[in-house]
Amino acid sequence: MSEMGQGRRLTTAGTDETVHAVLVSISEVMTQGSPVSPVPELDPGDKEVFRQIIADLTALQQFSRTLASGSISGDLKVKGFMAGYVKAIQANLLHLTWQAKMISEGDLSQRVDFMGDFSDSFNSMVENLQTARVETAARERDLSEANEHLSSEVQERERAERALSQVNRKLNLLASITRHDILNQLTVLLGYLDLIRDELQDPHLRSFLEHAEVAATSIQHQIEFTKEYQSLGVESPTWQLLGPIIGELRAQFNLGAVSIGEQLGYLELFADPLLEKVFYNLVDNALRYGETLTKIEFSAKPVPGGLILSCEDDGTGVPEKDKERIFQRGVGKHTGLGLFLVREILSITGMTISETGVDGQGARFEIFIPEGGFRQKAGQAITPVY
Amino acid sequence: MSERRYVFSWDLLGNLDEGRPNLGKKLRLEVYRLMQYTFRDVLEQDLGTEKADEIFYRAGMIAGTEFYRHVIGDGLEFNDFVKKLQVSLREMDIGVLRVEKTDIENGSFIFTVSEDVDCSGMPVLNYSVCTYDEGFIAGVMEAYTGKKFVVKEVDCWCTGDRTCRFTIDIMRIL
Repeated sequence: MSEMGQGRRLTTAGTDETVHAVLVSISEVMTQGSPVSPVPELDPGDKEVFRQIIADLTALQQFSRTLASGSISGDLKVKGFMAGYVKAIQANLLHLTWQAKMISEGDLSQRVDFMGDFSDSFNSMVENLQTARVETAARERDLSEANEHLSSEVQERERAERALSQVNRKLNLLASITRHDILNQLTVLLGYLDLIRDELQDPHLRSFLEHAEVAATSIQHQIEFTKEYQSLGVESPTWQLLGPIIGELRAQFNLGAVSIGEQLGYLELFADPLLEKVFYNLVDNALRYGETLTKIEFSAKPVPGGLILSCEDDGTGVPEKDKERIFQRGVGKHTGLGLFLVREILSITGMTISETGVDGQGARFEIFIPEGGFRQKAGQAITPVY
Repeated sequence: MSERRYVFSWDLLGNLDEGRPNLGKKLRLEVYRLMQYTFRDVLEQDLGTEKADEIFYRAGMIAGTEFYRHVIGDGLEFNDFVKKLQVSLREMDIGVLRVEKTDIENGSFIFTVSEDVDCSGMPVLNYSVCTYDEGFIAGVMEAYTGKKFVVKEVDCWCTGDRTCRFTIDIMRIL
């Protein structure tokens, strides 16, 4: 306990110099942190009081400095009003620290009382937090409900997809069996028509027979087309390297003097597994109708938003009026199904095709592949694509 | 001891609405202190300082226990318990309770009480006087936790501090 607190007084009558020295020492502690001047000469009782004053002031100063630095859990042993007010500040800081900890642990019932404007600000902040928490909880409930709803919808859709898949399998099976039976019967029909032709001499009747053969052959092509079309979209799209697909084409056709060139490097397309049919049909088309055809070239060039892959030949080209019609089902000189199938296969992964050649100078089919639908094969050097 | 006359009961607080229809529940603080410090005077004269303090501590414990039973109530989580204690002490003009430390695991706490009914505004006496408060807090804590606590006032208005600070530690049997 401080001697000052016990109400003791300096008893030394002392000289003016002594009193001055005491005051200077106290002033030095107050302004500089510690006494600098020599300790004044005092009698033993006064000296003890003086020492206690200096010790209390120094302790108070050190405690205040510690408090100011943010370390608020210190212990000030000094008693009395001066120390009491500093300790009251410390008590408030400790309480606020405890409250902040409680708030951080989720207790938003904390409020500060009797601390003036700070109370208003603090309490307003906590109330806002409470409001935000309530709103967040409401949003979480909404999200949770929406999530449950979505989950339920997904499950429903999955059930529907499973049912649809089952129906699709049954339909495919039925179509496959029916196609097989029709083709068998068509083979029989065409065989008999062939036998009849050998026996039929009347040109008028032979003309009827030829019409019948054309119709039967057309039915055969259409039935065969259903086999390809049935496969469309059944399997998931995959990345497919174009080089081998085009290389394979050279072996599939009797090209004669026609050359097939490609400058596609290691280009891969994300497409339906029937992609090879696209290139097959484009080459088949060129060979069938090119007439003056000597070469077919595949190339690619980047354009805004994607890539254009071209199949260009030097045949007779496509008349202006047919440029769009040729992609319609049933339009064409052969089955009328090839380019229709091409467009359908490409559309599965967002690709489009159009004919942009010059009639009389050659056909040019341009396939637009959107961003994300093409890439250079992983691990391979990027070959210029143009 | 012969049959006791003054066993405390909450009923002894009486029906204040009926008994004081005009003056109400409020009483000037000076009167409360007048009673407390004259009691102390007589108790010290007859029994000595230490015994007088012990009696006040024990009386505070009874008050704290009864206060918990009749004002706070059972079944609260710790934070809610503290909150209710704070609000009750404030609403009944007993003091402004604040919490500096809670260490539930080790049963160690530090509470402060500002504007304490027992001491705030008194002259500096160089000794703490909130013995009754110590017992009161010990009684409340024991009633809430079911365990005994030792409460010590380490800062008091009467020792020059501006807020009363109490250390509250679970009683450890050596």
